[in-house]
Amino acid sequence: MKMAEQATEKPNRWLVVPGEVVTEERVKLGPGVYVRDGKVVAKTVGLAEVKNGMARVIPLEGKYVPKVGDSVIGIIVDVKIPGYDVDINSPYTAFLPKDAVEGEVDYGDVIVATVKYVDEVRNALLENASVLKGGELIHIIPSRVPRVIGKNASMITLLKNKTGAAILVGANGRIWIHGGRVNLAKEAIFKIEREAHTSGLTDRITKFLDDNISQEEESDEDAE
Amino acid sequence: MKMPNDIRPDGRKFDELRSIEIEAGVLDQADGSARVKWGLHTKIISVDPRKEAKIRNLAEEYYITLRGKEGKKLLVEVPEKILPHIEDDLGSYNVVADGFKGNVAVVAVHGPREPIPRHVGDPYRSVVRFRYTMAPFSVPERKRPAPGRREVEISKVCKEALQRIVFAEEFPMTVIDVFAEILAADAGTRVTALTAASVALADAGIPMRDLVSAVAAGRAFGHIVADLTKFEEDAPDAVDVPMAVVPGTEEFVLLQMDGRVTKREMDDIIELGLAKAKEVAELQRKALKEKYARVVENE
Repeated sequence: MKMAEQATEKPNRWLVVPGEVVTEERVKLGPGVYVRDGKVVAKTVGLAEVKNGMARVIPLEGKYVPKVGDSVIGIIVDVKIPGYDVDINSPYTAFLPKDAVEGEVDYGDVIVATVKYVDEVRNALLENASVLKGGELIHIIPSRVPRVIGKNASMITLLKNKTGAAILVGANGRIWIHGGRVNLAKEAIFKIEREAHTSGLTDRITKFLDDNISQEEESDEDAE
Repeated sequence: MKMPNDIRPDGRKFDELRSIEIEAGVLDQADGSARVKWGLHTKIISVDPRKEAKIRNLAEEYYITLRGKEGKKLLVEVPEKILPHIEDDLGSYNVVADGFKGNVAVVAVHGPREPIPRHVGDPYRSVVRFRYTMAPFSVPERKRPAPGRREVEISKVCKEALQRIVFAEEFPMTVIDVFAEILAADAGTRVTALTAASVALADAGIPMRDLVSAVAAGRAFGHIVADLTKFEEDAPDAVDVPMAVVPGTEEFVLLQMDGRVTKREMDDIIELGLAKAKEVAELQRKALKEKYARVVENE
């Protein structure tokens, strides 16, 4: 797994800013790029990549825009007769119908739900909601969520195994952590967020977690 | 005039910009932010008070300013680059401190976010709002803090420049709020604000066609010059042409003029401004990349 991630990270990902030419070759357009005078140009600050005949820029900043199928973590901000208004950390609002959630939901509750439908002005309809009780909620920049999950969920599995915490990552940049070494998990996630644009991140996070855990154990032994 | 023919009142060459420092991501609460320091590095020197008349004479010709007294000594602010040229006239002096004379702008970008009031939202595109404000202490005389005609105008032209370069249709029914605060002013605040604003927009992760690089060019004391200071702007023959350019396509998204020029001079001014805007663009790109380089270094 580690080898696989290294192999995909190494080749030619570089930092670009808006207006910078990614490639002058004729390639398919991925997200984050557009064509100007026959050249492929970056739209946002991010990591450029030309792979398998496709150019794209993976953004490093930006707001969450709801997409069908995304799993998001929301906060109930209003209770109405047909359902609930949900804050999904986005310029756009989300609505959760009453019949899409089991049991009682109240103002201020934190829920995890799936985006069922997005309308023409990007407002979202949610489904399959369940309430998250206890735990801690943290925020990261939404465009850096894929790094917290990692290739084939490698990073999040690592975090869960090492910290023993239940971690739920919403595509909208909210992360819910429950039980285990909560503070260590938080620190690790913020470290991933800060260093999302660097390569070899899984190795550094492994080391970071191991170092902290061994330190913890040492101090426990000292206490004894 | 005694000064050498190829030197401006602050010691720069005709096509030389003032020093420009850009930093991206300076504010925590904003989605994107930038600070631009755009001005002359100066030395504060102390001289014999009997030279006051002489200093006042020199100040007619060079960009030097009396800064008051310290004990019995007279404090004078002199741009670093002009100091060697006027040393003979000054006689003996002591350098007291380093100074900075120029523009400082801090820009915060919030958004795309919910349009408030709701009616400003456009169902087809994101609306850019730009608020240019000057701090009361940014100029020698206290500036009244209420936005006047000048601020409203600058906000409008800057807003239109930025609206042209963002991919607004990707965020329907939202606004992108840009707040530009001028903390120090010395001619060219709108180009400083716009340069900072485009870095802040990129820092907020907003999709854009390109950065916007702004610069002023014009005429002062008989020469076509880049990046006028207040001193040059007040020259009897001064022409000030602030402009903002999309560096990748050489499109102009802002072009204003104060003063009168011939068509040929105008062509020269535009050509000079375009070349200088590209220099600014290079600094903007560097600043954005430095933000991410910093993170790696800190580890």
